[in-house]
Amino acid sequence: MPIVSAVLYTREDKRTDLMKDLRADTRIDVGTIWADRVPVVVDTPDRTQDKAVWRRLEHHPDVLRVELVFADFSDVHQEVS
Amino acid sequence: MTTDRRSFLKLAALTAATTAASTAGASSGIDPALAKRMGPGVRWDKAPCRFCGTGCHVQVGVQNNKVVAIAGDVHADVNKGLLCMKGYHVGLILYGEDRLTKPLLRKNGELTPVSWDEALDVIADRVELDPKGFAFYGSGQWTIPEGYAAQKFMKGGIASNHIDPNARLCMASAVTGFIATYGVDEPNGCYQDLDDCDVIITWGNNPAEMHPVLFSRFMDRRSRGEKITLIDMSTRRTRTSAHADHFLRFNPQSDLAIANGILHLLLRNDSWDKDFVEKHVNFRALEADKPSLKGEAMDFEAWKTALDPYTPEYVSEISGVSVEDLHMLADLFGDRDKKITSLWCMGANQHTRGTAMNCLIHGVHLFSGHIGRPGDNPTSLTGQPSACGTAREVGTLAHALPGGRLVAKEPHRTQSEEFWNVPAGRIDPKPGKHTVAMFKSWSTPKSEEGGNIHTIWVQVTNPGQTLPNRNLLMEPGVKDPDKFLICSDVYPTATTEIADLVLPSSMWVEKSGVFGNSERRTQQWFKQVDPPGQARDDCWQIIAVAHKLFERGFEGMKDKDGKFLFHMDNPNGGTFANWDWNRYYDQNVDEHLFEEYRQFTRLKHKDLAPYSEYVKTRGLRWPVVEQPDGTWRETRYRFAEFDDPYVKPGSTHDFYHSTTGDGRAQVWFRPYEAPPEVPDEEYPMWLCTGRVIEHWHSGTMTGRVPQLRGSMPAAYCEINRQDAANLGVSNGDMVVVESRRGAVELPAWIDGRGSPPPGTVFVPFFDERVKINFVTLHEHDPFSKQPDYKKCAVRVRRLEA
Ligand code: SF4
Repeated sequence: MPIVSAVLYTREDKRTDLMKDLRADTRIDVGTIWADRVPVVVDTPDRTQDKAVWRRLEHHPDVLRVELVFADFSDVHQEVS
Repeated sequence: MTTDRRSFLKLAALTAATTAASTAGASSGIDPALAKRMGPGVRWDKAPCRFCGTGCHVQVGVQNNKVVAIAGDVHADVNKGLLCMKGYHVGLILYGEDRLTKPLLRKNGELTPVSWDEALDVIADRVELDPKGFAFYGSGQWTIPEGYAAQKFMKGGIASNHIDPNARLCMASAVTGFIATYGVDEPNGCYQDLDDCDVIITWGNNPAEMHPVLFSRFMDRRSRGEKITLIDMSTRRTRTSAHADHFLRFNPQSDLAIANGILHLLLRNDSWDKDFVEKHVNFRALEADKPSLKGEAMDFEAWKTALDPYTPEYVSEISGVSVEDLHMLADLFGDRDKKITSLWCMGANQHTRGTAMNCLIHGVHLFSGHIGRPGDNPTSLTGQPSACGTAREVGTLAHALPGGRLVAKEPHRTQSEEFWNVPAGRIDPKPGKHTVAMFKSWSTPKSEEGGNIHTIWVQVTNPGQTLPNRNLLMEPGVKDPDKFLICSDVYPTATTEIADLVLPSSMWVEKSGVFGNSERRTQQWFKQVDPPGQARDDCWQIIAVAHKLFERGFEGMKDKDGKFLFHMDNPNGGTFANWDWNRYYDQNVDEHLFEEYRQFTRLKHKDLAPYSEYVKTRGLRWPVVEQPDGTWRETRYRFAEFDDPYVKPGSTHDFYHSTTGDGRAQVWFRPYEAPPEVPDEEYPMWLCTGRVIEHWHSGTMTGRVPQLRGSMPAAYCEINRQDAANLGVSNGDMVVVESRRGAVELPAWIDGRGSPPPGTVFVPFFDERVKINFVTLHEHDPFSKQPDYKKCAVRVRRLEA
């Protein structure tokens, strides 16, 4: 059950689609947006979903860069054992 | 995994990302949460931000008597339009749902609404009970006129010197450090140093979170490709460390040894600035019998010998900093071509040897000649918006009078009595009780020795959450029916919760004010909206109590001519009723008090311009000196001939308030000494306390801003991964942090926002549900009387469900 957070660097005038997408995904929480930077946390049931969400965000047309900040995989081993 | 733990993990992840987003640079623009309320016809006016000592300016948008927008002020030199996440949301602090709107008096254990008139009578009764036992506990968030009024009320009115500010807890050691070194308080440099330096050294300071807009100057320069080196010295990794070229983790208290180690190496390498030292420096040590801030002369050979033991190997052993890094620091200071700005704040100040640590930072700069050029200065920062302006310059400290005067000095008392037009001998020559002693006295039964303080009036601060060792300093007073606590505040707090009388106050732009920030900048603003309900200005509260006493015939509230101590003429030659709330804003009370206070500012060359000059500007840095053409010129760099009008021509540098009277600054020898409490078998870990970027100090204002509360809703115990494993603690598990004085329970956060080394935990103090001040130590520096919140011994255990 990974929990991973990051800052998404965007353009302030071009992120409407991104915000819509983020809000539509219940696995994603958005923090206090700060200028061109959008803090998000992604809470998924397994590694596969986690990877898929981040791949999507990294390739989102409104996202310029992703800076990973926090990752907790402390109980991920429970999935494999 | 429990749901609670999972929620905590998500929260930890989100706060880490939010902080990373916000410390990656400050922002400009308008807070959309407020702007939602904005329509056409918004009136804009300037004000300094309500929070930290950086002193950013905002533009406040007002419509229909409400603040509807906040924008960074592009005309402000301090922040050039930028704001941090707190400043960006500052307008929302006015609109928490639980604002205090009525005076409340405790009757049969319950806080019960009463009229203002009854509240004022209760305070007047407490003064008359025994004026010498009445104390005032104020704040570095007091505006200059508020602090000045409180100072005059206490020292010139009821003749009690028991007035002290909460700034005692955050920057008193900076004051004593400046006085011991230069004979006068406050930095010689200014924020421009950050634009011009080659190297920034943070001495136990985390500006990325605590002074974010200042930190953004560094980040901006770096992003423009400028070469600027950041050296972060700290007892734990912080957001500042994340951007540092060199992170030097040191053991608690060993900063003293590091500074001495740099001096040792400058001597050994023969890289100190001989010309500067010969012309501008004396060497000093504490007197053996009665140590004082003046100290006694120490000859250079003796000073050198005293530093002999501080070899890199010895210092490395004490501090944990590598020998190579100590050489790196000494080499930087030995290079005169590099411009070095040192920054420090509570890490060096909240220290049982805080005065010594401050003196040593100045000493390293002076001995190496890194002082007096733009970018090359030791610059102490403050946490509160007017710690400098109000606590230090107005001198709302138990031993001080306005403008750097001392109650113990007869000529200073005489001059103050003349300015106040009160009878000679009105001011008590004996210093009052400093913060820790004040509350200790209040918590001691009247019948016992030292228990004479019966009443404390608290304004604009929250000692219930911030005073150390609360079980010793507050709880006995709370239970003693002879003791009385008055608290003026804007929201319910840990202090109003235990107060006997609560007074609802106006806040920020609900009143006019003047602040003084960390770079000697005095900043004025006007009232822009009305306070809610019956909330009223703190300054009015003081004047109204003074007038109650005057009406009762209390001698101290009369001047020499029998007039009211706070007398103001009205334009018709009569008396302006400044005690009548309905008329309080008919005239500018702030301007009247400021102009009266301005007379005090010349003695120590902290000259202020007339009030009207501050109305026109985004603040001016003192000394502000009138020019032949009638304009007023501020001073960016003190003691340097190129900028300071008071420097003797031809002297390049002139420390004109030198304690030795020869224009020289003092380089002190102050040894490394162990802290008063160190981890042992019973309490094996260090506790460090501090702040977080989202919240300002005890969180009473920022906790009411949904965006900030949402980003950081609760305190946590930051713990090292190895310690957590040893204790069987995972992220989010509840732990007990316990000292010899008290205990708190809170969730653990492993390597979250900051990373403490093994054997250390960190707890922020913003959360009133987790009063870490029950755990902290009240031991304090012998000169500054500032307690050490950065290190005490605790034990940590997992709280079993
Ligand atoms: S909190 Fe401090 S740094 Fe942030 S905007 Fe206010 S004054 Fe500036």
